[in-house]
Amino acid sequence: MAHWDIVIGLEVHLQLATQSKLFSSASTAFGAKPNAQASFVDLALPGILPTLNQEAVNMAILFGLSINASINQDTIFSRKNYFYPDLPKGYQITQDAHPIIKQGVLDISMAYGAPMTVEIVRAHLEEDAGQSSHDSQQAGLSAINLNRAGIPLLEVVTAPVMHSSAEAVAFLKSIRTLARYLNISTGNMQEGAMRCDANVSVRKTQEDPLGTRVEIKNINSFKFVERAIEYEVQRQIETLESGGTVQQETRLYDSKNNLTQSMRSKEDALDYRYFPDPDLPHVRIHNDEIKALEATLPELPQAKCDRFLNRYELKTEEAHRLCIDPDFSDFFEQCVAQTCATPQTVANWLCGEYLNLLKQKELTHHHTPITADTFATLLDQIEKNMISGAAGKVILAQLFSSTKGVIELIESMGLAQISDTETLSAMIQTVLNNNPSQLEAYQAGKDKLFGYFVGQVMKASKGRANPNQVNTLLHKMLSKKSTP
Amino acid sequence: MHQLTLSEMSKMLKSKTCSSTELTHYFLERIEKYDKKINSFVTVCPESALNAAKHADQLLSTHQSHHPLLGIPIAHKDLFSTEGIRTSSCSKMLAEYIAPYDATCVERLKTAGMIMLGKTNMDEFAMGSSNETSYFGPCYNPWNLDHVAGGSSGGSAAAVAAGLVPATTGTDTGGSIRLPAAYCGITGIKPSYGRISRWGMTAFASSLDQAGPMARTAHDCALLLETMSGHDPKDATSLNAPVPQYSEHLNDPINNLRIGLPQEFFTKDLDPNIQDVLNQVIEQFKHMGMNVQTISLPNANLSIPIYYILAPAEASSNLARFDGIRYGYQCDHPENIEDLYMRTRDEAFGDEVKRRIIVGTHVLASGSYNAYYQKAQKIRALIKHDFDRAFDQVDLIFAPTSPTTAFKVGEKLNDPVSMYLSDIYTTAANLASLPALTAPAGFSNGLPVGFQLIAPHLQEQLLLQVTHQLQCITDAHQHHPTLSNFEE
Repeated sequence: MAHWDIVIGLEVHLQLATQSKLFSSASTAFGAKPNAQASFVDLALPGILPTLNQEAVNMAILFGLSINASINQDTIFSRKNYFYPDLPKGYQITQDAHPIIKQGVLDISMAYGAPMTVEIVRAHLEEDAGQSSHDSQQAGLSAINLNRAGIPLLEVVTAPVMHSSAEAVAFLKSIRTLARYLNISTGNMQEGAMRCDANVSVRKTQEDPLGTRVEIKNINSFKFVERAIEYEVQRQIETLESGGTVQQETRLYDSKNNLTQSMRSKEDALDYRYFPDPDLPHVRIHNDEIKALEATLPELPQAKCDRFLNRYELKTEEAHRLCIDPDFSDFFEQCVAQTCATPQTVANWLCGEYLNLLKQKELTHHHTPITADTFATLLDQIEKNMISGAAGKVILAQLFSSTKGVIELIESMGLAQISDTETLSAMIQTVLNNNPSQLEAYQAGKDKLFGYFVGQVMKASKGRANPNQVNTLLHKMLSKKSTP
Repeated sequence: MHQLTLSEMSKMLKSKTCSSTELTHYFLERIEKYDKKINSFVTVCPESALNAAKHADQLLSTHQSHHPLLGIPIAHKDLFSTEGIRTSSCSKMLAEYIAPYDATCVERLKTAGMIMLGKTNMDEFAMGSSNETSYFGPCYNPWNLDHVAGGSSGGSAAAVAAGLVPATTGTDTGGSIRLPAAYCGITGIKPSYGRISRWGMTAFASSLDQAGPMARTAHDCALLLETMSGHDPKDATSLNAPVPQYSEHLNDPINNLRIGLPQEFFTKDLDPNIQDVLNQVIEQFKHMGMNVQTISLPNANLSIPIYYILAPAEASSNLARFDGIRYGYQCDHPENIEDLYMRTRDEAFGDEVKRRIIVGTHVLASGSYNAYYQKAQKIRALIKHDFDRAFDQVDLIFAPTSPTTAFKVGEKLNDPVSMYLSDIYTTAANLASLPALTAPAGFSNGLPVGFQLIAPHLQEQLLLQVTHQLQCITDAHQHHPTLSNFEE
């Protein structure tokens, strides 16, 4: 197959973590009873009016500042008109011609694993729709839940500048990381707090004009974004190579069968009849407001990563894995501050055994029952040779389910390391006595057998013997034996 | 008693000459007696009114100082949300809709202690100039039942004119307070856009809709307006400006005030009989020491076409919520969602509403947006600019309220354009967001004639002052229709 240049642009919807909705005072908390969080405004009763939630505006500005974008200081809301059962007003309040954020750049190096930036064309505020479900008890009836209706969304639109599904996924991971740093969204795709539409096209070479683009909707995980783009790229290439043309259309991703299906063609595109919402005056954003918000900006992901590399002298891989999540990297720093273990050791434990255990238990760091304090205690015990590294792993696993502390667990599980010279010497002597032929071979010059003796001692001690001390003592005792 | 002004009633209540309960009974009986022929009320609430009156009487007997409107009856146009009471906008779509909350201005008048007797008739969703598009039938003019009351706030105007209630609320998007007030011979004011909160008012055209009071005199309107006005955090377009106590400054001197007559409004389109009546008012103004001069509003003649692009555009979007899903009318046995939308809206909206939704949808469509909606917005700015320039020369603008007196029922119902032209002198103030008032000027062939005053932004005070001082020396506002033959 000939080489094709792939071009991808993304539209990402971030649900903003405000206390109340974008235009009503109803709560945004996740998981309430259906319609318990639908106010008169959300129900679109006659006579209701929207009032803009300043918290959402502030979050959008923070996002804009963090990607070096320009903040539109005279921004307006428009109505996007269409009928849908979970769109109560018959229009969505969104931003059309004058979005609050324009022209920014997102650094995706950390997630991509190589230096890379993505141009963001615009980001605008809009209200979410409600949710319809068609699996009702009564046949022929659909249920509508308006709890989600009116929750603020920040729609982020990139330029068509990505060239592989890996770049697209790295962009999504990066935007989630940024949202978490700014504390403006959980970015959780499973809960719908982050949603993505992808515009995909292909062309022969980078010099050619852009090919006809297809918009893919309904992709709700990183894995599906990757699969949907790859399927669609393949479909377009096959269409073109067999002499066909790609139609401009919107396609839905079917994750069960891993394919995209046509939803509507360009000809069927709805005319949304956008016009400025007469219920909402222009939003004027003053320089003072922007400066005040700028002062509250936290350390951003790339800056934190650079600091970790310089200050803690971490390896790049661990620095990236830690800094992709602000809470995880904070946890790391809290551990480092409390333990005598080196930062790299802390990083190795966190990015290695700890993440593995989380994965096994299908948890994320945000649901961890382990505090930084506990983790630091555990590493101290290892560092001070109170327990072995192997025992440390056993205890770490126990910490997920046990109410006991590290010290208690060491005692109750009998995992304390044996560093007492007499006890260890006796153990070594027993091993040497029980393995006369190996001892003979060693003394005849087969040095490799040293490791065998260490292994036997560790086995006899059930892993509790201090390996460094076993090494030293064994060395001494064997050299005594070789000099008659 | 029904010919008294609000302040006269207030005095009677304070002096215990009569109680709020008696007053309420009195008006409820008049509604019962005369409204079958006028049809100005679509809902009457005797029980809740009498309860409220009882409460007002308690306050009147136990408290020394109280709001001047305490205990006085009022009625609201049926598009103001009233908690627990049907709020139909006189549409089949909402014929059984009971609002779960009070509109801000309803709440403010309730807090002042006014007694709501019921809800008044109107054109469906305020779309009309004659009150003939109401789902509950036309409202008839108490001066002559063969004629319309005017619209869209026809019920509110007719009820006050017939003495069925001393004051009402109305809304004015393109003249809906002023036109019926003029046709029925009462005083009504459309304040500056944003003066009164729109929270709880069923929206027709959001950038033009304004609530206002309708009553016998400018003094009554002043008392009501100062109570209804003020910033409301629930309406982002409501103005955050102090509310003057209009009623306390009505007699402040107005010497040497300059009044402008727009040449574009005094043309052959205006009925000569009306011109004569208006000339008498102009003479009075001169007599009061005012300086009358001719001015020009060069783009005012574009008001009607611009209005009939912008108002339907906003309406087409505002009325999208009536989809038969959450509340209101729903068609029987819909086959699917498309069928539900189509039949619900087809069966429950009247012809005029459908006409405006279609026009509004068309002018917002991507292919016609620039040519219609956007161009109309530009002309709206020009019209505003005309007024700004005019107000460099004069303090107030004097104009007819309507080119004719109330026309006959059915006369224009099948000729929408001719109906639309009834608002030829009123829509400009809405497009420019300016306060405008109408008050009785006299009569032509036994039907009332109104005059209109338009003031600069937030100068409601001036409108009320001038009209009050005119009403102190003239009696055009003191005539009452004879209702004796309305009884069944």
